[in-house]
Parts: sequence; C-alpha cells; structure tokens
Amino acid sequence: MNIDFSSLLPYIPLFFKGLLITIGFSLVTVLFGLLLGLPVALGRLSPKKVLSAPAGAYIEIIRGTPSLLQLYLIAYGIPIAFGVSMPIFLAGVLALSINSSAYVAEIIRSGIQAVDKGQMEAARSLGLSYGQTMRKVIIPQAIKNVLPALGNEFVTIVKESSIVSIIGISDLMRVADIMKSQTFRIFEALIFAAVLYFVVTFSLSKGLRKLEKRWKSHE
Amino acid sequence: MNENSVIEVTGLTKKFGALEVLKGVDLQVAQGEVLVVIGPSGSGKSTLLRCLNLLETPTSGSIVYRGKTLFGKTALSEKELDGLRSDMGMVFQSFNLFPHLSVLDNMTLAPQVARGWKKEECETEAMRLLAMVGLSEKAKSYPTSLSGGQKQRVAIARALAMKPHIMLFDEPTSALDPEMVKEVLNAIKDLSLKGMTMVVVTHEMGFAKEVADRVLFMDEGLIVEQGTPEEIFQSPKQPRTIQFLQAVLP
Repeated sequence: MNIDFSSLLPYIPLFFKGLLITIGFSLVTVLFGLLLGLPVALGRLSPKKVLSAPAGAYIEIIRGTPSLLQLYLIAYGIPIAFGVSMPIFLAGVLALSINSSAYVAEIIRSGIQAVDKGQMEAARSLGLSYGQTMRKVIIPQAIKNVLPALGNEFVTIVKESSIVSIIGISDLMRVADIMKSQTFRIFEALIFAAVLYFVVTFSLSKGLRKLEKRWKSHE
Repeated sequence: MNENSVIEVTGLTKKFGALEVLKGVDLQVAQGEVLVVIGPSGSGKSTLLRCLNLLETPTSGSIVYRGKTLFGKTALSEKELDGLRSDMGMVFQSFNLFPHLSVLDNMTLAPQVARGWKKEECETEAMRLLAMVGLSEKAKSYPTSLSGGQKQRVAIARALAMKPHIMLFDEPTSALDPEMVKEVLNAIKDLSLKGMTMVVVTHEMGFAKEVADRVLFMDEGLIVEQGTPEEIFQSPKQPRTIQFLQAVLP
C-alpha cells in the first residue's frame, strides 16, 4: 500500500486558502445568481408575452447546455471573439451565476406560484397595483417558500464551483490539482479535498434544515 | 343613469371558455342600499360580484361606478382601475388576510401604499375600526392565531380602512364554523345600519330577510327575480325562485 497522509502537511495552509476561495466564490455566485434569477422569474410569470417568452427561452437554454461549455464560452470564447479582456475570477463568477440564475428563476417561480391565489385578489381589491402586490404581499411570502430550495442551490454551487479550477482559479479543487502534480500523491490530495468539501456542504445542509424547522414552528 | 346609483350594470356577460356564466345582467345599486344576492351554486352570483370590481374581466356589457365607466367601450388605464378598486371594499369567503403581516399591518398596508396616507393616521384609523369589530386586543396578533370569525372581522375592518364607498361581500360566512357565523353577520349588519352601500352574496337566508333592502335571486347566469325581502321570501312569483326557496328554507 502506498498511502501517506503526512504528505499533506506542507499543503494544509494552501488547502484552507483554497477552501476560503471556494466559499467566497460560491457566496458571490449565489448572490449574483439570485439577482439575475429574480427578474427572470418575474419575467417568466408576467402576463406579457414580450417578457415571459425571452425569460422562458433563457431558462431552457441555460439549463439545456453543459455548465462547462458555458464556462469555456465566457472565459475563452467571448474574450477572443470580441477582443475583450476577462479576468478569470470574473469569468468564473459570471459563468456559474448565469448558470445558477436559470435554476434560481425556476425555484422563485414555483415559490411565487405556491402563494395562494386569494392573496393577489385581496391585495388588488384593496387597490394595490400588480407591482405593489408583488413587492409587499406575494414576494415576502414566496421567500419563505423558496429559502430551503435556495439553500440547496448554494450547496450545489459549492460543489459545482470546482469546475472553475479548470480556468485557473485557485479554489479548493485547484489546490488538490497542484499538490497532485507536485507530489504525485493523488489519492491523499483528493481525499483531503473531498473531506473539506463534505464538511462545508454537510454543515450547510444541517444548518439550513435547522433554520427551516425554526421557521415552520413560527407559523 | 339614475342620479342615486352607485353602480349601474348593463347587459353584463362573462364567458369562461365555452361556458357562459353571466348571460346579460342588468343591475343598479343605490346609495346606501343593501343588496343581497341569493341563488344556487353555479348561478353566477360570485362571478357577478367579482366583475363589479373587475377581479374578473367581463366579456361584454358595461359597468358604471359613480359616474365613471369601469368597463365598457372606453378602457380605463391600470392606474385608474387600481384607484377605483380601492374605492370598493371586498370581503372574500376565504378571508385572504396577509399571513406575513400582523393584524394592524394587514390594515395599514393598502392605505399607506395605495393611498399614500400617513402611517400614524392609518394606525389610528385601524385601531378605531378594530374596536368597532370588537378586536382591539388583536392588533399585534398574526392571522394564524385568529379564529375564522375573527379573521373575517379583521378582513372587513381591513377593507373599511380604505374608506370605500361600497362593500362587496362574497359568501363571507361560507367558510366559517357555525358558531362563528353570527359574529360576522353582526359586523355586516352594523355596517348596514351606518348606511354603507353593500352587495352581499350569501346563503344565509335569515340574514337576507333581516338586513336586505332588496333581494335578488339569480339562476343560470340571469337575474330571475328581485324585490323586497317580503316579496321574495313570502310571495315569490317565479317557479325557479319558489323551487329554490323550498329547498333551502326550513
């Protein structure tokens, strides 16, 4: 057997730096994904075709193509085709948050549709406009519906973000790659990265479930 | 148009796909009048009520509200429509309180957002209305902690907070446990005594007899018969009315 976990020791600070980058990257991505996803969801739900049709197409196209392809397209395809420079961190965040926004949009849409129809009617009958009703009545209730699913989306992004190591962002996965090529300790490097990923995703899911329970008990 | 009319409906029809729910309804509601609409399920009475404030868009006909054409040849802008809607209070069968807001916030949201009234004034008015429906101590409560009857009384107070000129009630007691029907009907009765113009769709015949100025019997999308409670309940003329009343009255 050729396993030696002590080979990890010199790389531990690097791994934790990678972990921080993974977490930070995921946070930024989920935030942008949300900011992009909300208008897409509202567009999708709009009674106006000029809004709902493009929003629907956006969701279908993003969800129907590989995220790795989207990443390459933004990191390499667009900069070369249009002669713009694209910092890799920005390219990574853009690609993953655009990808995430399509899923987030569907989460938000179903959360909004789960709000009782009578809420819209009551608010409109009181004279609130469609927009005011959305802002003050529907969305605050939809948030409660969508938070668990959004939490899961964050967990997904933490894992999915490992693909950005390919374009050179020094996230957790990339650190494992570096150690691999320098020491040929492939097994140890991957196992340690796996443990760190798992600790983050597992505690996130656990924490989210706790939060959810607390909300439920408040109802 | 009659000087005294708050609402004047002419030739109103409503189709849901191939199904014609309203087949040409003419209706006037006078200032201060309490109009009670009765009829079997599926007769179109709720649809008629929901057309009055355009929660449902009619298929044809016209609705004139206080001299303004709500629906008809000329279309109103969304903004004008919101303004007119806020002038017509509506109470629903299923209460439709906003569960994420306290009772007080339920009542002050629309006056602040849609009318732009000051928060303190809205709250003072809300507290006055809550006292009127006997729920002052519930101002800080959330809807989930209220009984059905309390919810509906809050819903009535919430609609009144907009200072509407007319109140529309869509089967306000149908979702209530029997022991709570009375407190809600009493709240509605109090309003009628204060001279509020009201259209009430209900299955409560006792209430119709007691409170209505005029009773309107609908069946299959048409007004079959209308008159004072005495006329409708003691000496109905149309066979459909007689048949219906025999079925529902003890």
